[in-house]
Amino acid sequence: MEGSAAFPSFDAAACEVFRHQFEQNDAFRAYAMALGKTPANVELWQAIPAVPTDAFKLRRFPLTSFPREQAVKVFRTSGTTSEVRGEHGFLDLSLYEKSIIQGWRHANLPVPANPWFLSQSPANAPDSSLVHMFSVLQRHHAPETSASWMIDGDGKIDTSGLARETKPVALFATALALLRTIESGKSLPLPPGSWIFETGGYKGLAVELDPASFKALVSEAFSVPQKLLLNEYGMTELSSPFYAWSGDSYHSGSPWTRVRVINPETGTPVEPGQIGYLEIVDLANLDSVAAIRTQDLAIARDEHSFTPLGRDPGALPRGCSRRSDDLISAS
Amino acid sequence: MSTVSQRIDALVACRETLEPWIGPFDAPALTGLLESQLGSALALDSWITRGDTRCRAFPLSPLLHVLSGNTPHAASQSVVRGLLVGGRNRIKLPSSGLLEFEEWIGGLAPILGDLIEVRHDLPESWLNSAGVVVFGNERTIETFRSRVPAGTRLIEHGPKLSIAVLFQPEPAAAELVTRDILAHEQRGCLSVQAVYVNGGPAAAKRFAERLAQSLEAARAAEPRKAIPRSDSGAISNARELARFRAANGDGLALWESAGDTSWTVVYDHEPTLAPGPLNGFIRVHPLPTATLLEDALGPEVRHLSTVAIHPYNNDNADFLAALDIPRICPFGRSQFPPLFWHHDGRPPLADLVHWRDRSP
Repeated sequence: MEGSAAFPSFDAAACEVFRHQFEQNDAFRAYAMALGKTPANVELWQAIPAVPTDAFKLRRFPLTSFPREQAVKVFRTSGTTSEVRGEHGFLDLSLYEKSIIQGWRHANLPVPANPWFLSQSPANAPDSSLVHMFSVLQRHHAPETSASWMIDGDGKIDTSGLARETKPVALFATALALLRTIESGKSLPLPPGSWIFETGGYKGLAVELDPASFKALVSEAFSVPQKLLLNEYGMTELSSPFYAWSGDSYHSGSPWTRVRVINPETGTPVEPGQIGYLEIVDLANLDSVAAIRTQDLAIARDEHSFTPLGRDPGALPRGCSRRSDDLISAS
Repeated sequence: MSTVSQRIDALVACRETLEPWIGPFDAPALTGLLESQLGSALALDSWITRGDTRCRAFPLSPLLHVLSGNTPHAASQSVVRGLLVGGRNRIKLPSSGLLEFEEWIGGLAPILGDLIEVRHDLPESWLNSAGVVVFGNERTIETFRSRVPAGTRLIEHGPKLSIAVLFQPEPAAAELVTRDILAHEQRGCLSVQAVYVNGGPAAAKRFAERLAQSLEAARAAEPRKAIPRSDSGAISNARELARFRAANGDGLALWESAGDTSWTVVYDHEPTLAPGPLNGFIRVHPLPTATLLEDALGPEVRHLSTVAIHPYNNDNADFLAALDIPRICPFGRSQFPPLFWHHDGRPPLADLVHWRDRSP
């Protein structure tokens, strides 16, 4: 984005963001200092301490660079009513939304001129970062269309409108919502030229599928070639998504992001090609924390891209799709 | 058909292998166990008289053992009990196997080996057993509840954890409880996952520091074996969250091994009991008052198996009465239940027989 391009290097931009967050974000500053990291000794993006995603659940220590009550938007991680959900607060959404739009453009993704959303609407899911992202994409790329949200507030799926569609569509959905639709047994071939954006996992639930079987199933059920399945890797705790078309071996991010894969036993980066815990530096997370430690396993390809391997089986179940899974049922 | 005496002799013959798993025993001890559970060691071989009734115990046969992969201890205890009462034993091994246990089974004398059938899979026909002993997590237990035919005796050993309570800090206590923590890398139900310290936060924090030194010394003397990546990840996650809370003044303190995850001590002023990531990770909390104890520890209390206490005396054991704990033992002994223990509060042999009476 324009802001990061104003710096001579990514390291310079990252260190400036770190300085800003160190100075303004009390909870992050305390954590960084416990690790001995300060603006005086952090000169490379790799040195910025990554905050574990579970820290976003500790609401008494908000990870924001502004007074929590000034947040204009708070996105929450998925979870059942009994689970503590992580919170990501925003002082304003302009940078967040710019990251979505410019990230889309940077990834050279097709314009979703006729988007359909197999998800709840922003009105029904105001704290879902994924739904907000869908809304941003719709408003930017197809402002003349009225958004088509196919899951109601009670989780009921209604695809009748989509079934009547004759023009190519861009179908946005969680993996679980796609599977629920398929399970309902209704044939839903999309018009030729359509493509599908899918995100989130489905392991640990009733459905047992490997990724290849999932893609084959979705491709067949919606009559969309596998090569036109776009997978997004995103998190409530991040502002910038990573994308991979089916067939790509890795997910790529925007220029204002970096990835590293860590050996959890030693806390140091793994050797190239080795599996470890994924950490992401996202400079669009300007007013929260830029460096996030996920509970996902991955293989780093380079500083910009990685092959995700899913949630570490030792971690607690969570993820973008679970909230939808709790809610949705085929009508 | 073998007699009890023959089976006892055969078990005693493999005592060297079994004792690390089930504790010291000899023929009189096994006979005594039968007498304590069934009233008479002869009840499995002949009709015995009870008041005006003659009765005889018959083993649940076949008896299905569904084993978990944590340690060979629970597996061997369960199967030894099944062999002692003399029925046929169907053993469903965990998918990961239990190498030492399988080697023991493979070397058994025919008098015991003929009573055993071992598989890694679970044939549908095995669910039609007279009794089923299940070790596993809640999902496993729930699965067997729904799959085992109605009327089958189902003996459940679900997920358990153990804790230690230090009533009076003494120098030796840290070394003793270190054994309870590190044995079997905390994978067993009897592994201590938290230590509660009497005397308030300052005393608990001092003990946490002492415990950290003890764990460090123990790991230096006997380094931990390599652990799976997920296990390292779970420890690393727990450490970083503790570090975050500690840095933000949330009443935590952290001691940890440098450069690896081989040992970790977290002092947490909040008393809530939570399962830890194992492999040498221990939480230390101040001990709540007796009145508040049950509520303060939270819902995990219902999964408690053993509480190691120090000093070990009746007054201290009675302090914990509200927790309704199946077993209390001294520091250093949590992983070594005696032959006579009531596993998860159940009568381990009495559960494995049914009785026939001949009444006047």
